Amino acid sequence: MEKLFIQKCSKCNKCTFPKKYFCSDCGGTEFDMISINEGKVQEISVIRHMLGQKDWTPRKIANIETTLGVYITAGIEDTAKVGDMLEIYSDNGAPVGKVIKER
Amino acid sequence: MFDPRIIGVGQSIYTRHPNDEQTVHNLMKDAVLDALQDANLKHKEIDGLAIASFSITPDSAIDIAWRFGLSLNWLLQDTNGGSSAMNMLGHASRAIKTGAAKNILILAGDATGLSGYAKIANSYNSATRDHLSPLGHGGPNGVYSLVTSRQMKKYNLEKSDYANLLISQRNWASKNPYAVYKNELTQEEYNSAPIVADPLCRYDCVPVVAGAYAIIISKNENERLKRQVRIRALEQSFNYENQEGDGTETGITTFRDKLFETARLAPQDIGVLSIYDDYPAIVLAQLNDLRIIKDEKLRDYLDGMKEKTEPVNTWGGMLSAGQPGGMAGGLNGIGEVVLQLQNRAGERQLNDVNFGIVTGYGMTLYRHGGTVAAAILEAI
Repeated sequence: MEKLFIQKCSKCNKCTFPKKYFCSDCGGTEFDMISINEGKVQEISVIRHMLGQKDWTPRKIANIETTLGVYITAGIEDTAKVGDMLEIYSDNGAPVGKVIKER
Repeated sequence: MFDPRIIGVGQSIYTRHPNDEQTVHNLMKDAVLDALQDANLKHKEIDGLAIASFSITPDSAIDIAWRFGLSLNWLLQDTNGGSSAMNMLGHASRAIKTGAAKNILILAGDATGLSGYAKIANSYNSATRDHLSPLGHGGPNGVYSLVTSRQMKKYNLEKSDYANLLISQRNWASKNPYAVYKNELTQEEYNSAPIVADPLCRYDCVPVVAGAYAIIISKNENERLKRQVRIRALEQSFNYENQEGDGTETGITTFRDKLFETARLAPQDIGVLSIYDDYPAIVLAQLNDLRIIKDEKLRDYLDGMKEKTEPVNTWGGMLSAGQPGGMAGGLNGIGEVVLQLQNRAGERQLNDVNFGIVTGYGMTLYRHGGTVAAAILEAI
């Protein structure tokens, strides 16, 4: 798995995800790419049914507050709980998290 | 300046399982015929068309004009999902005010089928395609399951609290001949329903149907109607907080005061409400932002629905009547308020209603919807 990168505006330092072309605060168009390393689980949902699919294995997604203050939606391990700290990766652009510290 | 009138409404059948004949074009045809008859207009008198649909592809608005035999001065295709109906209403109203058209048909419908809807949901936009679908996020159900959890946390709600809204709308749906779900819903059935995406159960997730809805807005009045309907105020918000909020508030907060000031009304003056209802949490968020729910007491409002019938989504809403794509679902909400204001809502008719409010909400960008609109309609 690869690092997950977010944008930091070169002009005003605002961080954002997914990719933007203009900074919503200052209108800047230059961004530095910063890796998100960790985040905290805020809410979890188990997706138990998928539209149009009969053989679906339930999986967990979560709202993650990253250490950079940006909220992302990530796939998480079955054992992850609200309040756990996760290491964040990118799986072909989709954020995923692995528990590094339990609540 | 003259205010355009909404002079006709019409709809097709709504069905969970369309047959081969119930294509989006055929369903739209049925809705148009119904609306033309209701408006007492001839087909040739339509000189403007606004249309929204996920499933007319590869056709576009001009194809529908051609196939429906409409020669027009004004044409619009809207792609703003749950806000499309309100967006089209606003554009059409302004077009009539400026003389660009005299009679505009506003049309929406879909017949995607469940697998077609799943494809749309998984590639709804590039953010969904790239960052959510690979997670198996479950489409909008997954997105709004997280929003609902945040709302429950913020307002100290229990999952079972939401049942009263669903039960109320189901009661209304029992009086709507077009609704796909009319049977009584009980608290016990709600509490024991299969979970789709925690905390959302089957009854919290809007049922996709095939269907179409049409309204006609005109420079002239419909002389067959005793009460005419006009738009007293209409406001919209797009991408108001760049997806940086938690989704428990909507863009209504940016225009609520202006909406009521323009209408010279207060929330308590509103007698009927069509609140866009893809998910119960979003209904509550909009009612809260409109200050229909007082002092942000969401639980008190839901508890009160046990004792008092609220005039909210009196057609049953999409949650019971069905969602024929967000666009037509939004139009159905407008049509219902028009019928109520004109005392034409049949068994559902409320007493002494002079003002109604309609909202649209949609376009899930990443964490929640990015568009919202509201209009106050008036009977004159």
